[in-house]
Amino acid sequence: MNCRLQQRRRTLLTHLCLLACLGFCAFGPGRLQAAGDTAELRFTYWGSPFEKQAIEKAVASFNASHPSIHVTGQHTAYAAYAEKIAALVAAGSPPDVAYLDYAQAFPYAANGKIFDLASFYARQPPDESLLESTYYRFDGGKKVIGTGLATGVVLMYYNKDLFDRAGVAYPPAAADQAWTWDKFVDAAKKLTRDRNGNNATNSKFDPDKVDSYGLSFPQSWWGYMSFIYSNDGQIASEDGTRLLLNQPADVQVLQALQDLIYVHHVCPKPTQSQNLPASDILMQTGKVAMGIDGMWKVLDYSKLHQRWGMAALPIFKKPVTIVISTPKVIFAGTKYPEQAFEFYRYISDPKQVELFKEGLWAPLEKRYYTDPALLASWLQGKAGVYPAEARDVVVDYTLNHAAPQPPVYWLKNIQQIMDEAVTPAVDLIWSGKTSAQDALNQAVRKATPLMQGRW
Amino acid sequence: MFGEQVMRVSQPATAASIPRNRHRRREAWWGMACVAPAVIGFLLWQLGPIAGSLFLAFTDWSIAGTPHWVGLQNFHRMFTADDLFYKSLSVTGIYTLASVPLSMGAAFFLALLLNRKMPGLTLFRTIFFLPSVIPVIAGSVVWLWLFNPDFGLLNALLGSLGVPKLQWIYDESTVLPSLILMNLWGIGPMMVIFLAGLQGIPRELYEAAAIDGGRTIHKLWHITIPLMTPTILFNLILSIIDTLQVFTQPYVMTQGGPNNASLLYVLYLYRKAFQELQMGYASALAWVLFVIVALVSFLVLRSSRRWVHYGGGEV
Repeated sequence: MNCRLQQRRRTLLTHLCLLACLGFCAFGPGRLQAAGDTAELRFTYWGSPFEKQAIEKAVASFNASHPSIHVTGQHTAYAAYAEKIAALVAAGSPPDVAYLDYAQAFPYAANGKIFDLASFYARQPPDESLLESTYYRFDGGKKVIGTGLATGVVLMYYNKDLFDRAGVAYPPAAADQAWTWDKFVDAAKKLTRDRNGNNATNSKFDPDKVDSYGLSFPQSWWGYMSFIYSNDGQIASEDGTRLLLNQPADVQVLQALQDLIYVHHVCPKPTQSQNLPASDILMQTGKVAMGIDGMWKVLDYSKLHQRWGMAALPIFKKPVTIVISTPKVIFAGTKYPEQAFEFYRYISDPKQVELFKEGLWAPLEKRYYTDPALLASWLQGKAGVYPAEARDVVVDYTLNHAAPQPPVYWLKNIQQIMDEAVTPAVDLIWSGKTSAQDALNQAVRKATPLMQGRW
Repeated sequence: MFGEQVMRVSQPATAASIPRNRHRRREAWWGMACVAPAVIGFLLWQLGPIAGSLFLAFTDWSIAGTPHWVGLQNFHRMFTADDLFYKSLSVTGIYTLASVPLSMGAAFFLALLLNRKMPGLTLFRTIFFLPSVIPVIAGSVVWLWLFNPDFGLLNALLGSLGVPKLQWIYDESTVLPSLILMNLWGIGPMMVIFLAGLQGIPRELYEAAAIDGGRTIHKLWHITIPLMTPTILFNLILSIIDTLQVFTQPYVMTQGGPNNASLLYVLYLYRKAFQELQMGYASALAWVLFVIVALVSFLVLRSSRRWVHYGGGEV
């Protein structure tokens, strides 16, 4: 009996082991292939719950309209995304289509992990061509490792109520009428008020007790780089061997930004606004009158119960913005490049993804800016999202006033250069203890051994 | 290891004890089956990666490519050409040296207070432990708000006392003290361990001291602290190890800034591994930290012979 009991237990244990193995197979990386010749694709992305919902919807409609392809979307929070992809790549099972940070996209491409899309784009009809600023080119321009998932220019938002209260005229939306820097500083001073109600032009103004600021700008590189281009400056040399941030044009811009904080007292430190709620919330609570931010913020602004507007960035020498476009790639390991590319285009197609008319994404294809019907399909796709001035400050700005691609599109080793040379120096500038010239000299000195040319 | 011991137990089998022996063997078998998941998990998910990272520390692996053996190059670069390595070491050192004594002192003090009999004791104990239940990220975000120079609560409170505006985590010179201060918020678990230790001290000793005319300070100095030294040692080692590996707070709150003033070691390691994809170099950094942690723990344990008193004399 004892023996039988033992035998039964052993059987039970064996069953348990088998079950565990089965579970491992089902949830482990090597999933069972679906029957038939359906192309199974895995797509990884990040984004807010709102974006996730929109992307899930687009993936579902893609699967419904493409019976021979099945895409599985995997959402990961941005904070853990790079690790997730790194783990997948290291394990030899990268996704087929993926969002990717520029700092990761290029090193993966350098190791042959990214599919070259140049031949796909070469056979696209010319009228479907994309904005030049959205291509991530590689190998001296011979390869295309991806395009952005969408685009978005940097611009200025403002709170109309605070402008009315201060009696300041709204900033112009048309790029050729944009405020000069001096005019901008003057407006910002009139819009900054201390707790006694004095504005920053008043001699009784108390900069230690500011109640609402004229301006906030992001501390990220795209917060200041467009101004450098506006001043005819350069971030790095064309060949990517030298950082040029300590040249007079660049220094002038960063000094002007530092002065906004410490001389004019019209804006909180960018280091702290990074951790403040985003500019839309600050504006809603009446803490800030103007916010420099990306076009993608239209989504959040459109939900504010407040009168807000969009304007062109103030100019140093010429009206310039930059186009931000997070890369999206196809991994070289994919078994179905054609199908992956089909999905790759679909997920950035304004007809299929709601995020365009919701004010988060602007299109990649030029015709969506030039063809009136296509333009209206997203810019007026949903009432109350884009204000009228978006035609100037999103459409015209993107088409006619975008600077050439900033270094994130082409500079080698950019993450380390930013982390170890540029960001600490810019921190110093924002801290107000070092002049822009000294800090940027330090940045260039530290960057010199890190410069490795261009992709 | 377990098997060996179990086998030895079941060896002296005689004909008479066969049923018992069989029973034991079955028990041993089940014992092994039960610990197997933990052992396998450890071997697969901990020891494996640990060994893997030791190998990677001698390579130039960048996740995407194949690892190439580079010998001691990573370590050479770290010690001779990497300013940020030294910077992060010194930041971490300062943080640990300040944070460990401060949080231990605070936890000990709180434990002493909460060890008395008074109304509302459970409530207070709960309140002081509460922050440790809140996820670190959520706590960090709350502190971001408290620290905000313009709109934050701390400056508003200090401002009403006439203290000028502090920049907290937004200034090179105040960012580390701010993080250390914030760390005090999470001393709950340490406090509980101290509390458990305090309750293990025999009451007779205090009574004896009272009869001899000892005052509170004497009781503390001559009874409580000596008898608490094993608990103090335990908390000290755990807290040093934890503090040397702090990551979440600087990651969420400062990203190492301003100007690298809060670039704690593990944050730097993370940056190398996952943002710059220099996994080989990051592994080397990890092993250097491991050696430092091991060394510090060893020194503390070594010194403990001089200051830790175990009840019941020498062991």
